[in-house]
Amino acid sequence: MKGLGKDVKSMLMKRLTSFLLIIFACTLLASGALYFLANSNSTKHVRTTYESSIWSSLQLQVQSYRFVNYLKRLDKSNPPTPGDTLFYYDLLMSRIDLLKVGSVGNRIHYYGDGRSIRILNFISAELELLQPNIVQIENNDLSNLTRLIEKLNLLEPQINKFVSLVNQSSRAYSVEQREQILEEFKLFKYMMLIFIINAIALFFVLITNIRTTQRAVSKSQRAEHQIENIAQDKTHFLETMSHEINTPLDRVINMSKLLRTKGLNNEQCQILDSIEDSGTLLLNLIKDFSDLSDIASNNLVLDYAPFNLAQELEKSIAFASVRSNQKAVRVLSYIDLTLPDQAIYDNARLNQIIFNLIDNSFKFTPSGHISIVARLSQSKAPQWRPNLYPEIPATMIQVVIKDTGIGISDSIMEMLQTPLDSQVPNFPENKYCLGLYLCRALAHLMHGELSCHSPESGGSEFILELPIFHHQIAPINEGATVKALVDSLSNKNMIILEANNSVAHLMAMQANGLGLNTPLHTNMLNQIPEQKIDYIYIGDDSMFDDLSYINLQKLINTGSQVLADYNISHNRSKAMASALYKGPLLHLNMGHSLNELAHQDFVSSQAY
Amino acid sequence: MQSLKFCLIFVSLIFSSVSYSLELPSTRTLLTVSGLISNTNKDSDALFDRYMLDQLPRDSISTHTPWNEGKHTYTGFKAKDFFELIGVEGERLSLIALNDYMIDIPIQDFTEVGAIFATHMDGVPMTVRNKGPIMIVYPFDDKPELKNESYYGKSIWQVNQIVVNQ
Repeated sequence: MKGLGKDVKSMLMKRLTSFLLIIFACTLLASGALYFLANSNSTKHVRTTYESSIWSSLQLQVQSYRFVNYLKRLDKSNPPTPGDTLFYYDLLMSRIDLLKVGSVGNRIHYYGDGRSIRILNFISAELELLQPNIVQIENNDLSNLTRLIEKLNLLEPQINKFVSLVNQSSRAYSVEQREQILEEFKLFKYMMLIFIINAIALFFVLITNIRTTQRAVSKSQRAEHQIENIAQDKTHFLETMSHEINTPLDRVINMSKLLRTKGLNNEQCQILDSIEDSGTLLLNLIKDFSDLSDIASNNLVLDYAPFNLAQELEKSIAFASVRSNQKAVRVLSYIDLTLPDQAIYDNARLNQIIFNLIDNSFKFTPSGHISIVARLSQSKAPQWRPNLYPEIPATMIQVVIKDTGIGISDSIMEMLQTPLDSQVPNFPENKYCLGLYLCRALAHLMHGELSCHSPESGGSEFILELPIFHHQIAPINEGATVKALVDSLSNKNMIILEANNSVAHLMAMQANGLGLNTPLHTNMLNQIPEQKIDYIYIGDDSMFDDLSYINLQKLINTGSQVLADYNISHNRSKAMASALYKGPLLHLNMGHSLNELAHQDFVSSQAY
Repeated sequence: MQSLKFCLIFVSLIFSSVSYSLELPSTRTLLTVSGLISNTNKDSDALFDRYMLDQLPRDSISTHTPWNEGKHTYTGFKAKDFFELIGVEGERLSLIALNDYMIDIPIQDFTEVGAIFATHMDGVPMTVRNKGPIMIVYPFDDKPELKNESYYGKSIWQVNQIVVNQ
């Protein structure tokens, strides 16, 4: 039935198109004809010729009478004024000249089948023959005056005949032309009729289309209204659900924490861990759903306020990295200490993004490391400003979260690259992508951008570009705490003993950022640098040989402080360490650890 | 030197007086101007013969007209100087032809639209048989907007009388 409907619609459309084409062709033809008619000056031409012919022939008659009357008035007592006779003669001849030339002459040529021009030529010739007599009179010789008047009287019937012929022919010509004009007028009427019919047809087509459009618009408005209602209902439902679930779930989590204090064995503790993890995950999921719903219904309000960006980033990374203790995954961070001190941004939402991204990395990284690098970006900041800070300067920051996990699946990649216009995510069959989608939506909402890719070296890399706002570029190391930290570590030397090159590189970045020099980073200590070494960081001792230990001992003897990762494999290394470092190797945290190491007498195996 | 200067002033005074006084025409009168004029030479009229008209500053128009084939150069006297000479005090002119045909033309047609009193066509004086002695010619080619019945009707020929009206 649906297919049949389509066929009928297509046929109707074809018919409508043909109908409109016919109307268009008719209008075009009628317009062309009207244009032709409008440009035709036959009407005007006919009238001018008709009037001029009659007028000129009558003028000939009048001037001939005037000439005869003038001549009749002449006698010896009334001699001609010099020039007058010639003047009247010329006046009469000028009327004949006018009848012979131009459009009047052309028309007169054909009047009465050529009879009129023959008569005019006769009159003209007769009058030309009178010229010697005219000259005679001009010379005051009136001897031939009577003869001249007689000759002119003889011409009078010819002139009358000519005038009559021109008059009749002009009228006949006029009637003929008028009929032609009437024919043209009829054509004009038909064309106007075509125009009117076309206009009526188009009017009905227009009315039909307007009705269809109105129906479509009202349908679309209803649908839009329904969608808005659905979005509002969804938001309301999620808010209610979140609120209702939150309380019992909190109780479950708190009770499980309480239960942990009741002397449970390891197996029971693991079960409790699972309960707590699942509960927290569920809480976060509900919160994420609620946020997504708020974004979709434009109800999510951003809270822009000043924060110490570097310290907040460190806290956020530390919070997200708590589970690194439980897994064989190391977390390292590098934060550019020149980031603005008093940056204005939505700290809670940035934390949410970073937490979700790090959490995601944990899920897909069974072993290896996750690195987080935060620094200023060269990207152009958007024109947008928060309502409370309309004139504030903006800078872009970049947070890169890279892991050594299994990488990003194509479906998630596609989901993250789909434009955000629809606000309705097309989630792939993957339970972990909700958080990522939320991160992208939040970044978009804050006029930033979240992109991701799988590097050739493996794992995945998420790049968050976000605008932050600040009144002046004040490096964070001007803040009292950080300044003191950097001052105390400045120009001191540190050796990094680490097997993984990228981890070693990042640790060197951390140390350099804190003002330390890193003359050596290697996987084993088979030589001792010439300069005084203040700190030795052992991140991985798996490649250590005896020479490494001997050299290590030599350095300790010269006053070097050893900070070792809590998870290093050899107890011998642990025994030589001034302190053991437990947890994520975060930038500022590492600085504080090294600083305290220099100012306290550590007992071996103290852990941070 | 001083006497030469006085002579020059005297000569210029004579010429200026000639140009602004109207003498009676010495040959056949071609044009009679009457009505609201301040400078006359016979009763309340100003009479002109061909010689007097030819002495006035010249003006010319090259144009096509509906009455003559092709483009012709019409030369005549400058309307502005002519009006100054006869001391026109009205706004409209009634132009009367030899056949007593008469038409009214506002003075602006001469001072603003550019019409002239043509006495010569292609350098040859216009005779009665060739629409003379005076024909009113408008610049039809230079101003196409003038190509209509209204201005064609005002382009009167064989003019021999002008009456200046209010």
